Order: sequence, then C-alpha cells, then structure tokens
Amino acid sequence: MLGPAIAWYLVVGSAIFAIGAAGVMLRRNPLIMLLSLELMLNGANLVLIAFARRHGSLDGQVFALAVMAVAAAEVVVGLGLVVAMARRKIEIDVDLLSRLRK
Amino acid sequence: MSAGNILVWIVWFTAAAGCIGSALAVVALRNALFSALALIGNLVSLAVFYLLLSAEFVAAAQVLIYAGAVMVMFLFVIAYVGWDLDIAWTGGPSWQTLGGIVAAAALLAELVVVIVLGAANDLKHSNKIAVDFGDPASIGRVFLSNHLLAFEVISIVLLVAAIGGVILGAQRRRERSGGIR
Amino acid sequence: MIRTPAIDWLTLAPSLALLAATIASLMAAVLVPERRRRNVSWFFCLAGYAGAFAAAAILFDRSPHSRGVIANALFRDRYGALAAMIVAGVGLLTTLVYYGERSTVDRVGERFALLASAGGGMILFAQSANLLTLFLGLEWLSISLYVLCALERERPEAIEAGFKYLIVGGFSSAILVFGAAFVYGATGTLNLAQIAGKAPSGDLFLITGLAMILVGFAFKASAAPFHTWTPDVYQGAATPVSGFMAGATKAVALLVALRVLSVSFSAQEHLWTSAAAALAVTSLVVGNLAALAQRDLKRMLAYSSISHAGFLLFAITAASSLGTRALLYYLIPYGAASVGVFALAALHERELGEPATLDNLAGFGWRRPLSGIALWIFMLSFAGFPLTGGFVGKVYLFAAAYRSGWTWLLIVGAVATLVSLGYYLAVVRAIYMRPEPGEKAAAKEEPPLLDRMLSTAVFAAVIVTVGSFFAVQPLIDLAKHAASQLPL
Repeated sequence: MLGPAIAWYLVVGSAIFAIGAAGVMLRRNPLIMLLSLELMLNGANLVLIAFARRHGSLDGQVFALAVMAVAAAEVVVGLGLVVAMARRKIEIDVDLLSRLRK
Repeated sequence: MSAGNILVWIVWFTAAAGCIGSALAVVALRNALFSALALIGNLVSLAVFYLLLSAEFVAAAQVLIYAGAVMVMFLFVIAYVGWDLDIAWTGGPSWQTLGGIVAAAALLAELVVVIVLGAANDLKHSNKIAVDFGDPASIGRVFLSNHLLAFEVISIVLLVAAIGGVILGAQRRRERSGGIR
Repeated sequence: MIRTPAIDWLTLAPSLALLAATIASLMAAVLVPERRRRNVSWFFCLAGYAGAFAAAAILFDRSPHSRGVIANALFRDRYGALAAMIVAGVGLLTTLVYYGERSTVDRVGERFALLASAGGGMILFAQSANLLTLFLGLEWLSISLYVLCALERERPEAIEAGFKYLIVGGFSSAILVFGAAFVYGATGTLNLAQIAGKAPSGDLFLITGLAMILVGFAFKASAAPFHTWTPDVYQGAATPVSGFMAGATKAVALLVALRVLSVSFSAQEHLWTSAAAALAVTSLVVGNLAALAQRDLKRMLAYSSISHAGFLLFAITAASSLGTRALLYYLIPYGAASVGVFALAALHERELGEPATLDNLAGFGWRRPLSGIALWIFMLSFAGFPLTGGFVGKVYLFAAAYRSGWTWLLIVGAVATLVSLGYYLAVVRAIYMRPEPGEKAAAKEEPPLLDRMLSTAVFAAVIVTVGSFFAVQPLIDLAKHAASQLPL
C-alpha cells in the first residue's frame, strides 16, 4: 500500500468525528447542528473504510454506504423539521405585521 | 522511497489538511451557507482518502450523491429559511460550551492515544487485496449476497424518511387558507 | 451468477406484517375518502400489530434453538421473538389509545403508518445478528419516531421536540457507528457471534468500540447521564406516542444491549457490568430526585422512566441468566403500565384541553372512579407494590443483582424505591383532592368524555399489570426459554 499506514487515516477520521461532536454540542443554529451531525458520520465512515482496507474485506465499505444512505435520510427529516420551524416563525411574523397594519 | 510514494504522501497531506480545515470551518463559521459549502469541501477531500484506500465505488457515491444531491438539498433549504435560524434550548449555554469543548477534546485525545498504541501492534500492515477490491461489481455482489437484508432495509429507511419529509415540509391546504382546523 | 442467501420468512414475518400495515395505512391516506380515513388506517395499524404479535408467537414456538438466518443478518430465536411480542403488545395498546387523539383528525393515515413502521423497526432491531442490521433497524425505528414526535402541529413545542430528538438521536447513532467501526477494526467482522474471540480481550480498539456502543445504547434507553433529551421529548410529543417510547423503545434498547454485550463481549464482562452499574446508580439518583420536583405529569413520568432505566440496568449489571429472565419479565408489566398511564394522561388532556399537571388532576378520581383506580394500579406497579407485576419484577431484578454479588447496588435500589414512593403516591393523592372552587369548573360540569378505544386499552393494561402478578409462573417460563438462548 502506497502512502501512510492505516493509523494515519484513523487519526483524521477521529479528528473529524470529534470536531463534529463539538459542533453538535456547541452550536445552536439548527442547520449547523445538522451539518455537524454529518461530519460525525463522515468521520465514522473514514474509519470504517480504513479498516476495510486493513482487513481486505468489503464489509466496512458496505457499512459506509449504508451510513451514507442513513445520513441522507436523517437530513431529509431534519430539513423538513427546519422548514416547519421556520414556517412557524414566518407565520408569526406575518401575523404581527397584519395586526400592526390594522 | 519511490517517486510514486512521495506523490501519494503529498496528496495525502493535502487531503488531510482539506478535511480538518473544512471540518473546523463547518463548525466555526457563523453563516450556515458557508458551513454547508465547507462540508462539500470536506466530503470531496474524504473522497480522495477513499480512493487511496481503494474504495472507488464509495468515493464515486460520495461525490455524486452526497456532495452532489444531498448538499444541494441543504443549500436549497438554507436559501429558503435563511441562515440565522435559532431555536431555544433548555439549559444555560455557558457551562455547556465549556463542557462541550472539554468533552470533545477529551474524546479526541483518547482516540489518538488508542490509535497510536494500537498502531504499535500491527496497524502498519494491511492485507493484500484483490484487483477488483472496492469496485462497483464487487460491492454489488456483497450487497446481493451477504448483506441482502441490509440492502432491503436501507430502502425502507429511505421510504420512511421520504414520508417524514413530505409530512413535515408540505404545507397544508387548510393552513394556507388561514386558521388551523 | 450471484448466490443470494436463503430467506427465512417466518423470522421476518413480524416486521413484514408491520411494514405491510405501514404501506396499507399510507395507501388509505390517499385512496379512502376523508371521513372514513381514520377508521381504515387505524384498522390497518391495529391489524399489523396483531399480526406481528401472532407471527412472533409462532416464531417463539418454532425456534427452540438459536441460529442465524439470511446470511447471518438476523437471529432466529426465542429471545428476539419474545422481544417482538413485547413490542407488538405495547404497539397494540398504543394504537387503541392513539385512535381518539384529538389532533388525529389531520394526516391520520401517515400517523398510523409511522406508528406501525416504528414497531417494525424495533422488531428488526431486536432480532439483528450483525452490526449493520442492528444499525439499520435502529435508524428505521428512530426516524419513524422523530417524525411521529413532531406531528403535533397544534402545539408549538412539538416540532422542536422532534428536532431535539433528531439531533440527540443522530448524535447517539453516530457514536454507535463510530464504536461499531472500531469493533470491526479490531475483529474484521460485523457478525455479533463472531466478534467474540476474534481479538485479545484487552484489545484497545475493541474496548474503545465497546465503550462507544454502550454510550449509544444508554442514549436510546435514556439512562442518565445520557437522558437530558427525555423530559423535553416526552412532553412535546403526542401523549400516546410518549407512552409508546417509554414502553417499547426503552425495552428494545435494553434487550439489544444485553444481547450484544453477552454475545459479542463476553470476554469483557467485568468492564461492562461495572459500566452498567454506574449508569444504573446515576439513573436512579437523577431520575428520582428530578421526578420529585416535577408538577407536569408527563415530565414526571419521563423522569420516572429514567429511574426505571436504572432499575432495568440491574439485569445487565447482573449478567446472568436470572437477570435476563428478570428483564424480560419486568418489561411486560412495565410496558403495559407505561402505555396505560400515558393513556390516562391523554384522556385528562383531552377533557381539559391543556397539559396534565399534578394540580389540575385534582378531582380526577371522583369524576372518573374507574380510571382513578386504574391510575392507582399503574402507580403502585411502578413503585413495586405487591398485587402488581411491578412487585415481582423488582424482586427478580434485585435477586439477580444480589446473586451476582452487587449488594451495594441493592441498597441504592431500595433507597430509590422509597424515594420514588414520594412522587408516585403524590399522583394518587392528587386525583382525590377536591378541585379548588372556581378553577376548572367547566371540566367538572361537562359529562366525562367517553372513549371506548381508550378505555379498552386502559382495561387491557390493567389486566396485564395485575395479571402478571398472578400469572408469574407461565410468564417466567416464557422468559426462561428466551433467556436460555443467550450465552450467560
């Protein structure tokens, strides 16, 4: 295998995971929380694929693809919720505006 | 060290810098739009790693589906709702901030120690792999044999998410004409 | 030519029944005229849960030996079948309660579809035999529940509750995947049965993976200190859904945790039993103390469910066949009582049109004597009084912990039980208080709401809660058959 050994990839994967975890815990913008969640899953994916290479088995890659699909599913629901929250806020703003006009 | 190996190392460090830098940008930027763009950068640099690890199909899927389709959805929603959405969470943020940083740093430190210690054993070696390791045909074969059930369940998870997205995102007719119920 | 694995349809039957119910309810939402839509989707959901229960019972009968099926993706065994029966039973009761939920007039088809779908995911999760199926089953059930939580459009906090649940749930799933990746790295396999013995017992990757998987499960079972989402989500979600989460989600999370730990990590037993003991003590302390301070009924029940996670973790701490039996037994009356008590809370909310609190419960016992008695029974079962299944369950759990040498845990458990009396009996006292004059006079004058479905569900829950005390032997036998298939 050319280039660095597996351990190097693991360190990068763990770093991405930890940065994502910090983002979920620290940020209060729902969109950025969702993006940080994606980061965590990506860190896990890199670790899975690195280990798949180490063992020479495809199970890890298949798991990574499943994680990708699940991440997409979570994003769909999460964005649906974000839109619903934002719409409520817009409705309230519009209500306020029309009441002020009267 | 051969010339090819040096080239791989250079590519590796570029990708690693891109990965970590863009990950930090996702978390640190104020504007969610830029965060989303940074995540696309992160996904593409990860795809480089996947190629180096002979996961060609996963790398292609990552770029086409994840960085392409999923992130476009993100950008659309950000354009729709605006980037400065905030929600109220219970609990004071100040000690939570500190706790979050400490927890994440401790986690990272622990993982690095584990990996370095683990690397002392046998992580430097990796198994010999076949030529077709990680190409679409071999992945497809695994999905239809050993992981057939997982393959089917993924479609169910996506179905449920689609139902959820439609219910949550769609506007009701009655709601639009004013008044709930 | 690709050789696809042989499909064992009977093992899949319980989750397939619920998947079929999901699709049928969803179709009903489109094809059936609006005024009959609720009945039709509701019926499909109910039929799905009934079918899943029947299929799980047949599966239980026909699986005397544990084995992996469908290329070792699922276990076909009595442990998984009994877990499926518990989920289907709780789901059946929840469906009955959910019928009359006032906000169910809107988007009924999708609601019942998601309720059925969550059950299907839980059953697959409980049967999973490799880390990939486990993860996908978990996501199937979680995503259904995220949406189900957010569906209460009338209440502004529902969407936020759904979002919080999604973030915390996604966070815990990511931790679980990360842990699974390290376990895979240490052993080179995703198969639960093959993980054991593939790596030296002190392997750092394996232990890191184990710790992260444990944290993931603790989030799902809402064990302290990973419980912070629970009160908000239980309060924000529709009341019957909260009951479903308390009764079924916690049950499968603990059952699967016990299976993964005992099957894959038997060499690390000393580590995870200590971790489970620590989680149990924290949950008991946090859950009980916080519950004492609550006035909102649903928040109080959320903290009570956290403290129950502590009690149920005794079974994992014990790591014995007796502990497994105790867990399987206790989940039966606990699930019934959870659905029952949330059903009564839903009834009260429907009458009042506002969240149930200990203050506005006053007079509930006089206005509705039978429901009052039912609430009594559920509270006493939670507290572990004789004549209810909660008593036997707690005795079994304590005995299991004692047998495995966790004497100090028993003392903590006993103190926690005493403290818990404080808030359980507060509910019982509250419903027999005279309402303050002038306050809620309207609710008093109106004739009590009659909801036959909900009454049936509460009645059935009372039967199970009390019946499990008198029918201990057959239930314990069931649990024994199931528990004997775990390598403990």
